Amino acid sequence: MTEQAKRTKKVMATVLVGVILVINVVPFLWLFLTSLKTRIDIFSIPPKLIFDPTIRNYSSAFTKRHFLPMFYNSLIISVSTTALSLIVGTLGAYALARFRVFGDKHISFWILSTRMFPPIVLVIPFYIMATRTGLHDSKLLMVIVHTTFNLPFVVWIMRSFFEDLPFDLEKAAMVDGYTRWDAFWKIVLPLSAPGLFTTAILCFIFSWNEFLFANVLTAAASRTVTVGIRGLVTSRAIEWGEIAAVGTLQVLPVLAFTFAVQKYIVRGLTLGAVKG
Amino acid sequence: MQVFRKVNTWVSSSESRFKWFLLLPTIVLLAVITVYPTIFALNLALSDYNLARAAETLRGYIGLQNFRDILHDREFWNSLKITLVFTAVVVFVEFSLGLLIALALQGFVTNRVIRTFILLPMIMAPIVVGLTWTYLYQSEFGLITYILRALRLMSYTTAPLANVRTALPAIMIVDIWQWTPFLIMVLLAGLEALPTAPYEAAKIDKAPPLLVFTKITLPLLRPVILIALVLRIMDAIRVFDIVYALTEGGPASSTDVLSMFIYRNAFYLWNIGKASAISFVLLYIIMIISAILVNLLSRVKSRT
Repeated sequence: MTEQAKRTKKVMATVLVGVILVINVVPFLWLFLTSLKTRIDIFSIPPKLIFDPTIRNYSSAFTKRHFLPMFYNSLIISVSTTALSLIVGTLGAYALARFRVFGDKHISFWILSTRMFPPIVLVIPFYIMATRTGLHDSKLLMVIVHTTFNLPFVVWIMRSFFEDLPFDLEKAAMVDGYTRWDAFWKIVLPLSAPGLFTTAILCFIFSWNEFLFANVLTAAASRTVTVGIRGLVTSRAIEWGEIAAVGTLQVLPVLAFTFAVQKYIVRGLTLGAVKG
Repeated sequence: MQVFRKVNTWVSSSESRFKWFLLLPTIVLLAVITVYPTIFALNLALSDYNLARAAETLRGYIGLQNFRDILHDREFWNSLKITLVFTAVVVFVEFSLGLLIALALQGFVTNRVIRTFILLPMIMAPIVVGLTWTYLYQSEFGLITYILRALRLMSYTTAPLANVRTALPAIMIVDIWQWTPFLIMVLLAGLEALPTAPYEAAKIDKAPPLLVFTKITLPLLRPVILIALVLRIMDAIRVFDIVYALTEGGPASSTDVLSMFIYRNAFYLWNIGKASAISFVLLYIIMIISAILVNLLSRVKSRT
């Protein structure tokens, strides 16, 4: 390529990135601007770009609509399912990465296929079982349900991270007198820290963003943010200002987390297949 | 501590003991929380189970009756058709856009902030995405509705989500908006990991760019493309949140994707048996696709 052609390509790529960023960010930006509008500004035609900002939507979301407990529920559920899936799944992933296990092809396929389970298939039996056992509308139930997709995710993605490390590491450690467990716990795990961190963040996000299970399986006591925000749409009115405020607050932590792990996010979202 | 050390030596002393010690918690937990509910659901699918009817009118076990009923249900076929059309269109558009953009941007998207904002749509909660776009499509003051009317592309008597002809395309646009970034980033990662040697050879031979693309880039990128496609197809087939937020399957069932159809049967009509039966049809479709995915993943692995 000549210098001229290279420069043209660079300009075109920069413009394209700009266009994509605008398209990707405008809906969220519009949501954020709406969250700062009064009811009158929200309903104005044409839509207003310049207006006097107010934080009333934020305050009423917490005082009138009681979103604080919902954020708390979402947080507890997301952190718990992440911890449970990581603890159990990391061990399973290590076994599949390092040892030939009887029927390991079938076990892997089975684990992946549970990851692919459509939530609508599981939500019906979970609903019936939950109402019969009295677990309906409990955080424990939500943790269990979110583990159905996070645990297989951890197994697949951590297996790919473990397979990146040479087995010689553990062999050398065992020659030095480490037990198998110590070799895993003291050598492999610390070296996999970036992978673990990314996996944890993604598990958290999957649970934090989940809607279908939460919508059916929670009510007043364990309602999550995603369910609460949809609850602002009623047959009488749609509280756009509050939806925008809660939506903004729901997305912001996810955005910060994504920024932290963006190096491995492609790998995480392709279950370890594409190493970004 | 003493106990812990004993356990440590015990599980570590034999390889087979160690690997099952590691693997069993995953297998047992997953079996309890997914296999058991699935068997439970199959039981429901084979029963006359309807929470809207009095318990004494229910017939209990009815074999494959629910499945036979579905085959004669026109709403089911309509829903299946919508799901397949939705999946085909969004995956095709997302892939084409993603590939074109990834090719143009190869080597240019290195900034962390920019990468994060390219990813923004797909990391937003689908329900929030759905509500945001409901607002953009809103029939009086929605930004998109306003722009379409200002450009005289849409009349004042209708709105994007209110019309049977435009509602499904409107939802497709939301899905395309949300998931094209996934294709862009995955294909970019794939492109940037390609070996350089074949390209240098092509350069020496002065091969035309189109030939380089079809004979070198596409074949080398094949595994990445296939995995991205299968993952997207799987997600698109079970789409729920954005449809629930935008239209709940309406107007006139024009956006009634399978997950929405099942949800409506289960939790609006309380026909649990029928809903479970339909959900097994969806599960069957997904299982076939995930078998293909596993095949692809293991093939990628054997290459590297």
